[in-house]
Amino acid sequence: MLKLLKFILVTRFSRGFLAFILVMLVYSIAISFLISHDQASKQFNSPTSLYLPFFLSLMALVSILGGGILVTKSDLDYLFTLPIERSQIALSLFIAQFIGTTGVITLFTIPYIIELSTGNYEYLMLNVMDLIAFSLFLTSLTVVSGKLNNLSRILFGSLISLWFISPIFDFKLTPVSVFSGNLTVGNIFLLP
Amino acid sequence: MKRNNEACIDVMEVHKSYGKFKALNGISFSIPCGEKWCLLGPNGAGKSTTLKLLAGLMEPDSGIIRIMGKSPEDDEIKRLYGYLPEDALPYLTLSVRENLEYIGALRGVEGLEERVNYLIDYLELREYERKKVSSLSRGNRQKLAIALSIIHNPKILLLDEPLNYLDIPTQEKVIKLFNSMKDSTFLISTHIMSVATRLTEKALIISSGKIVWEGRIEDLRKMGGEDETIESVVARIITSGLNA
Repeated sequence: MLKLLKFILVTRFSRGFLAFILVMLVYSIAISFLISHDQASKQFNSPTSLYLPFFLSLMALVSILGGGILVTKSDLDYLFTLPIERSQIALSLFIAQFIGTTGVITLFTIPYIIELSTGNYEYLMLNVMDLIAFSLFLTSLTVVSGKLNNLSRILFGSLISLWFISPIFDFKLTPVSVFSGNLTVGNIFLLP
Repeated sequence: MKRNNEACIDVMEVHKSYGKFKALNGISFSIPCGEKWCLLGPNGAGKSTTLKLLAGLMEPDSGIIRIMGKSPEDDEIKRLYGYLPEDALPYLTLSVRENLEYIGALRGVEGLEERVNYLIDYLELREYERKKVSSLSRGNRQKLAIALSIIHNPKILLLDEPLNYLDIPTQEKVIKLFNSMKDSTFLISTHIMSVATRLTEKALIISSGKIVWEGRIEDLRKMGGEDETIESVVARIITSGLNA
């Protein structure tokens, strides 16, 4: 299984991309220690409260319209003819997609996540964990969307996208609420 | 639908459609172990669909496909066959060597390094072994695709237009390589008659999703008069759809 997962990862992400993600993460964590932490998470304001719901909503729309797990022609030519159980291949592809989704979301949100954490290490850890949980949730949604026809997928993607952007309009009952100062409500929707 | 017990490949009354287009319209054939067959037919006749079904990459709408008596999707069967798709695309982000090593390792090939080196040398890929597939010419990609399809010394080979993109000297080497696999069962899809005659002894002619002729290539040759080439005979069979 590990051999298969490694193969799927190296066929999707170049070493440069993985190194870049790693450097960004290390940089962001380091920078978080330099930020003053005299604010509570709830008191953050302005661009972050708009940007995160907007970006995550856009990411959800793009991912869902993309339709399911990324399978390349090379996968069809080689991966699916290997004597490996389909369930193992499916799980490995899911993990690879989850890592990719997490990487892209991390790249585009980490400065805002740090701002949201206001220099508080515990908040930062909590927000990073929520970010990972959100990526897992979004990856699962893309898998579900892969089984839909085009029209249903557009409708599904639009509804999810609206749901994710709703904190901008002060609607709190959404997983994205965790990134707009409503940790408890957001986690109730995100973690199950 | 009765299965031929001595056959490696059994296809019985298989239908496959893409939307409203019927790619296969109830084809049946049987290939005994160790025999070399080609699948001839015009573009869109259903040759590639037949090979994809045999490789377990899709399921028929109806009918039965068995390889050594089992489903093509069975892991045990997947160990036995090698599949070369038309316009095969090895992993672009990996090097030639990495493609061979990863696929070989996942197939559990014994003596993998030796096997990889043999194929790299035989197919003259040594100077490209560390290069990413994305930087290779179409011909070198095809050589790598051929190496990937036979890395595990398959007992059954399903080849879709195997000599596409290869220059003449490489075609000769590849023909020699395939012909050295004497115990393997072949099913080769092609529309180039010379490829068929040099690699196989028997032919299935498919047209509009139906088998319209099957038998020895030698018999096809005999069906033509002194002035008629084997290509003309095949064309005549395809056009008329006669089950000669």
